[in-house]
Amino acid sequence: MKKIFTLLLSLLLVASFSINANAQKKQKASIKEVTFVTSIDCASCAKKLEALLPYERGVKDLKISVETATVWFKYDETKTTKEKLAQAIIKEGFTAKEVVLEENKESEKK
Amino acid sequence: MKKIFIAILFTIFSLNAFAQSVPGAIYEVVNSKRVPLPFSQVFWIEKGTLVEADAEGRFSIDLQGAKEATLVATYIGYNKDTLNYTQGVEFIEFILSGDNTLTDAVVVGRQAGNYLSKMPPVKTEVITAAGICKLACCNLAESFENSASVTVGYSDAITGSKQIKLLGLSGIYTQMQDENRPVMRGLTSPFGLSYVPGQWLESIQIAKGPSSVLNGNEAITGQINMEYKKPTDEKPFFLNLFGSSHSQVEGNVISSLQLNPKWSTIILGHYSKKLDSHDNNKDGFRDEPLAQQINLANRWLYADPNGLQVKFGFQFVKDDREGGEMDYKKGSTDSWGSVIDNQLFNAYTKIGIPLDEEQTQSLALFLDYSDYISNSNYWIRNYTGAQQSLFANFMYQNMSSENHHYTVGLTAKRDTVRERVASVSSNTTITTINKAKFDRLESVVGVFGEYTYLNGEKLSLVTGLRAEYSSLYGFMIAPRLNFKYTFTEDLIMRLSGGRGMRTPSIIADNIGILSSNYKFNIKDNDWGVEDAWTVGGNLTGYLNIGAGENSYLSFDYFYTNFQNQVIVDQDLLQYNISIYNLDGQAYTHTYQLDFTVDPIERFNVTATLRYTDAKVTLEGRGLVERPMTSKYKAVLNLQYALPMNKWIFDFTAQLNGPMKLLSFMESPNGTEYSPAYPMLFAQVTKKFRNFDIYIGGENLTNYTQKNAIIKADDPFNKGFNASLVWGPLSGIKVYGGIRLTIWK
Repeated sequence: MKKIFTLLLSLLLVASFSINANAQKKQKASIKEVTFVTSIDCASCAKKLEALLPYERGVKDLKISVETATVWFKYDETKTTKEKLAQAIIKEGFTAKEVVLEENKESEKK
Repeated sequence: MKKIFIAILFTIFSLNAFAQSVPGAIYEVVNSKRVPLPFSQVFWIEKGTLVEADAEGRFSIDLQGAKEATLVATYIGYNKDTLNYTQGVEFIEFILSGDNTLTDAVVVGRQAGNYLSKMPPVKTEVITAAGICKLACCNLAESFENSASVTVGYSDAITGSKQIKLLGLSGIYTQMQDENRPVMRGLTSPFGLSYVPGQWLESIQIAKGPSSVLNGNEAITGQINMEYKKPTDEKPFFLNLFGSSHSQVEGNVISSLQLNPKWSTIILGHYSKKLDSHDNNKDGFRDEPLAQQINLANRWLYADPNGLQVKFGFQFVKDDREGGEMDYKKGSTDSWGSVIDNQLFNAYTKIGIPLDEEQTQSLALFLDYSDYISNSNYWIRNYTGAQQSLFANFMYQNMSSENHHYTVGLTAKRDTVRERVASVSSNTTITTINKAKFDRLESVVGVFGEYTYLNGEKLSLVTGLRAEYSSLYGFMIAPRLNFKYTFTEDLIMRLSGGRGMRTPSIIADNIGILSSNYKFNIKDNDWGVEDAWTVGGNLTGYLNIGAGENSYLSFDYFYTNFQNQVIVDQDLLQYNISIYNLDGQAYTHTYQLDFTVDPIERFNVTATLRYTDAKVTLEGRGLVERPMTSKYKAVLNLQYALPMNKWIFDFTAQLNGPMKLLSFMESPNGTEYSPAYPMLFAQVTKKFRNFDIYIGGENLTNYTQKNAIIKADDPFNKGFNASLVWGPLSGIKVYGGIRLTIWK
């Protein structure tokens, strides 16, 4: 049994490293990020957006925070625009206003 | 559900453009007066900086000379407020209003499957919808497979009913709650877990230790609270279809409808059927019974903007099972078989009335009625269980002081319970099947109170007392204490202790014993209330490692000591199930270590290890290791998701520790213990805009307990016994399903 766990653990480490390496590959130049302050104020509103927004054209990644009422997108400029993304939020009955993040990733992690 | 827009006030005293740190304050308005909100928080979105207000609700934020800034003020239980700062503003003022929708658990971002909640005074392990969906989990019992706190096992090898254990003790000592309303009391406990379809649930909260007395004194090892999907969910249609290689099919339909701003309802439907029986271990018995379940529920919510809330609902379940030998025909005694026919009806209402505008004082009332009947046959033994229960709880809650909250209340309940065992046939060669009758009528009235002292997020102390008078057991007093101390934001200690008491239901609590030909040796006439004290604690350290915010290492220790317990002993007399009151000590020590980390974004690793040391005094043998209780369990769960959860990969490995076997049982490894065995689960989910597809496998190592049925080759023998299960009964299972959601 011990063997199985050791094996799993090492597999895991290998997997995490290789995935990490992948993630660090250069991203396409057309990939941009944008953050909107919205009027979402409940967990179920966020869930709805979480379920629907990933399937908007050009959306590559998404983070929604109820705490700060923000929606963060990573998107492909060649396929969509900030305005279209804002519209996608507005269409579900929320407001959306772009905010400029100075240090996007780091602040997200905090 | 949606927002009340709040006035945002900018007070400009003078134009001083060069101030770097800008002062401000956060208030709410009470009776047209401003009341500061202490320790509320302000978040500067662009920079990601967070400042906390002091005890007077005042804060100062360094805006680094920014010309513009988007600031959000938050306070738990209040609507957050966003304002746009422009340079020159000298004092920033936020006015927040109370949030009427606190009932929603606030969990967003990429939803973790299981996590520890930081807030409550009792350590609470939360299994979210995402966690429930990690496994096929057709029902509540199965949704605990990736939690080490809870152990899931079969109660016997015939009926397919699953039981849980918390802190090394049977699930009957855990108080089950449906949105804080006690459920699965008395006779409904053995099958109750299978009457909660996993797909109906939003989340499950597991709290170890005695926790709160507000909803009864029955929690001994802990409380498990289920949050159902809500009438306010904007999902008018949800459909789930599921099928497995074990000929099991299941369908769930859920519809949440908001009729107007005040009224909403949710309709939940479930149907499952086991189409065919398998006998993979070739012992002549079905590995799992043929079964069919119809489960319907309807829940209503009336929410007035002034805070008044009325909830009510109904549930109806019909469950039929047919287990035993492969050639068994219903109604026949020519082969060993079992037929179970259970019906449950439940209706409840919950009313919450705010007494002032700020809702710091409120009245809450709940009423619950349930009617349960179980008619079953186990070869020539017949079991009838019937229960009618009424439960009422009325409480007044006062949270007007910031540091001192209290709740006082009245309670009443009445249980009419009938449990009968008899032989259906008089002219059988076997004489061991005897009659037994356990009927009771119990009326209880009581008072309870709970006082909470809060010092910001630093410290909280919850003390509670419930005093009840039972027509069967006289006065019963259950004190409880829960204490939480935050050393630093990342290191939290919790202590918990108290007494729990529950009325035993002799057969239902031990439903597995019916799956044998053993004689019932009832040694006592009076059954005391089961009575135990549990104390314990937890230390959780949140770690600043990995890519996520929720890495933690947590250690638990709990000790439960029984003053009285009903003991079911199959080792006292050969071919007898002896039942008697505990005479001596019975206790368990449970230690648990949990660790979770996201090594990289969207990849979560959770590892848990539990160790249990359980002892019980058995007649003639003194204090011995409690039989059929697993010594340890280790769980490793890995989840990897692609961005936005479009693909989710889950893998769970369990190592289930050995159990002390009974003297007449044979272990494959030749010792007095069952062997430790692994279980592997894997699942892949692919999400589309309106639907998910998932496929998975359970028990991938195909491990089963050999000879789970003693004397399976001679089922009419008095030594026939299928009630002693320590491992999985059916081998590898592959399943698949879809979930379709239509949003409003």
